[in-house]
Amino acid sequence: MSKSLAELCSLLIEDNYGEFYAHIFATLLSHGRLLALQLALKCHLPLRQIQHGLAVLVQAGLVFHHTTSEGRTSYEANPRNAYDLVRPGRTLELVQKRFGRAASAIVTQLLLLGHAPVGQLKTVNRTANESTTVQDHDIENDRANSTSIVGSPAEDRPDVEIDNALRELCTHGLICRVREAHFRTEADTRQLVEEKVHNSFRSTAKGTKLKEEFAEKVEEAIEKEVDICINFRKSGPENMIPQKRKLDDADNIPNPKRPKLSNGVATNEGFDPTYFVGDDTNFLNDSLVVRLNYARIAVLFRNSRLVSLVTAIYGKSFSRTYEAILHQLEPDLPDPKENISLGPEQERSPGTTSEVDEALLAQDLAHHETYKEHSGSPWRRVNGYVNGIKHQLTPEARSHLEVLCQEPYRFLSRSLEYPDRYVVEYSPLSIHLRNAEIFRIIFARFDKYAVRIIRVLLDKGKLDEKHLQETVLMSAKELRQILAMLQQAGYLELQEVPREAQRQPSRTIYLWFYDPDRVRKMLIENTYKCMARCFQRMKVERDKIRSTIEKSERSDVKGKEEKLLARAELEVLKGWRRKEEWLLGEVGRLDELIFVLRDF
Amino acid sequence: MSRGGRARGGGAGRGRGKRNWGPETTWDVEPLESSTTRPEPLFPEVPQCLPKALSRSELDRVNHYRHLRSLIRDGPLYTVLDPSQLADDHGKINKRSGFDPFDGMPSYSKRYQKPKRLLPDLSTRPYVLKFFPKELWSTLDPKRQNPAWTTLGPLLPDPPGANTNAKGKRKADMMPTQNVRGKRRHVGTSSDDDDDIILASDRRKRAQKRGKDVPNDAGQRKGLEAEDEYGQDAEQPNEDDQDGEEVVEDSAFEESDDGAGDDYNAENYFDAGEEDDFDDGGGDDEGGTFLG
Repeated sequence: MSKSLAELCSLLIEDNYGEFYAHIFATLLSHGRLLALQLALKCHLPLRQIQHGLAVLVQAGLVFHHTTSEGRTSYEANPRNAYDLVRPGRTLELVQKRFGRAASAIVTQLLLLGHAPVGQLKTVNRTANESTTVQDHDIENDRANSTSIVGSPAEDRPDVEIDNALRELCTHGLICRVREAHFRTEADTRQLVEEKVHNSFRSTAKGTKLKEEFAEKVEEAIEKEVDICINFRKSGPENMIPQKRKLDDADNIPNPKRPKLSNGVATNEGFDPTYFVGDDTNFLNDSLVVRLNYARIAVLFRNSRLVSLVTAIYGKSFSRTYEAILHQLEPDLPDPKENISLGPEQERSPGTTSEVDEALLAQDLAHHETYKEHSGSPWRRVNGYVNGIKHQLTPEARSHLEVLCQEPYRFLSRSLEYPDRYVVEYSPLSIHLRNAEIFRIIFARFDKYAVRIIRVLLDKGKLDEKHLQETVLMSAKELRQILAMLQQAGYLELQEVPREAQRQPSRTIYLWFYDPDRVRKMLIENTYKCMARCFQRMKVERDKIRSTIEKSERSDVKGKEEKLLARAELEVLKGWRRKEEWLLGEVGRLDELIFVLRDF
Repeated sequence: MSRGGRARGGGAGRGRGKRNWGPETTWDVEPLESSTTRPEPLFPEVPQCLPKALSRSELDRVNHYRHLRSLIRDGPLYTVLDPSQLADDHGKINKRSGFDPFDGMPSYSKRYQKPKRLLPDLSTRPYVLKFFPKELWSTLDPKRQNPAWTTLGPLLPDPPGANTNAKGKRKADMMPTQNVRGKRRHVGTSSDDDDDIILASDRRKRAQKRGKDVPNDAGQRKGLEAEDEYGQDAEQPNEDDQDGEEVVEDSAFEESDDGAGDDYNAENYFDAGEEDDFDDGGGDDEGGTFLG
């Protein structure tokens, strides 16, 4: 937990929920785990207020809590979730674009509530739906006003629409189940589980084998405790009917594998919106408590990044094919591992792969084409199949796939077992994305020679200055200048290897090396700091014109600003809107960097 | 002097700073040479690079974020931190801290101003109690309407009051044992009203003693004393829970009424005098002048 992240988290909470919570959160972050009464003393606030604040923070998932068997409850901050407060804008934009307005209304509601039972989401939703249209708060909303939202066809049947949206969100894992373990720290969960397993553990094995068996049991139990899946794997009374796609019977018609939102095209193709509701009265139990799964946003964003990379390298038509593949994979993909501690590269789960079936892909592509003809909006809203026609891949699409399989990027690779299936290996692609991002930063800060040196060192490992000079084809003087700059900025490091015990400088070898992990951490730290500065700047700017803002927020002025405020005040407010836009936009861009460097 | 400088400057080492005998005092004569030895400016010119304009989708994100934020801010949970709530190191609270003497005085137009929330209003929505620690249950659901309470009945022998007991030794020490017993007995009899009988009667007495001098206005926010809070008043948070925003009352007034050495209490001065003298008399006077 770094200082700048702590700073950023409390600033985010302050911006979203208010200073009161930020004060409690910051105290918890700086002191670690505390009892409520200790927290009250440290915060200089009465216990009752602390309890109210903690209740809200727990509801929003920003604070862990743990009760011992003696009944003492301690609280701990959850910086991971606090950081996610940067992302609701991106989430809502993405959800609205891909799953429609009803889905975005649901997500808005979830974001407001923290976590909530499905029943509550369903009821509150209708009222929220009307108000969810994005309005630019700008008084003179010139640019952003064009973000008009296409009305959905199922408008007259709100329940169906919302059910469909909920289902869609669940299938994509954007909504996940909440368990009690999610309110505990990982260590607490482990301890609890270990105790539980220890009590019921019976084994005949001895020595290391016993230990291994025990550890395995614990891992299993932990997995069960923190399982967030709603739809897959298990089907209980509270769960949705299992919908995991089966690759083997992919040709089955009708195909309920991937219910998609009926939007626009559905009516043309004879899609009956009641289809999913009819056989699905127990689709989601009302008492199932759900929350938003931010890890999923990273998956979706990674896909969009990959698609834009393909567009940059191979062109539009290839990227369309690739997009179809990635969208097919989405529902089955596991979440990227959440590690805020940033372990070394090797610790990440290596093979986040998934297979894609050619036949399914052909279907999607075919729909894609037909949909394109109907309107220019994204293809995602297409229904899953049309009249049961099985599609063959066109030769063009096949050649696209071949090209995508090529070195050096290998966006796709053929499955070893089945010749007509393809695999996307995400981890090498993520590393590639990450390196590309780092190179981009270095290029922006220095020049192309610096990037060249870094790439050589990344490729070759540790190099002597002489060898480095030969490899990068630069004169010694220039090289040294750039090396010094890079070292000063923290991108490169120098290792001394003495040839003798005396460690004379003349008899020592100096090796330059580039450690991607260290650089990554450094960049992430700097990005956190930069984001925190953005929020601080926002605060300062807001304080400067506080009186005008307060005036515009008065109950008799609000909504009638143009009539009641003076021209100068309107100008000030407009300027403030612009500034805030810039700063929040900048924060969003920095957040993209965090996605690439930390979350992919 | 200037001649000497020139002569030196004309030498072979000029410009490289190799020969630099004696103090160089000829800045006015040779500005170019001397500028290299001057200290760097404290704030050098930094080339400004303008970021790329925000794209449509980025703008959408920003607007979504602002929209959601305004929803939260207008909702029941957004809470500001007032300096007057914070206790100092000795546990004392300065009611006047953070008060703006220029704009802070109550005025008519203030009633349109967005009210500041000092305590979140938790009563606006149902909660899934099983995800919260049990010590917060009474905060979230003071009326015990949630079915989760019944499931916990036998497991939780000492509901709220005793539960808060467990949290801090300090409080347990300060509370007489009699009260604890009373509380337990009370919990056995009724579940709706959490107030301890003894403490409640105590409080009632205090309220009576306070009388009409200090009107107990629900909307008026009073300062609070941390010591007091930890000690007695926190024992019955549930009564206050029902009127959402109000901060816990304090006993500072009552103490000063007893004549505990606080002769000059400015607040009392105004509060007490308001009804009797100033308003009536002033009104009459004014009326008189108007009529006259």
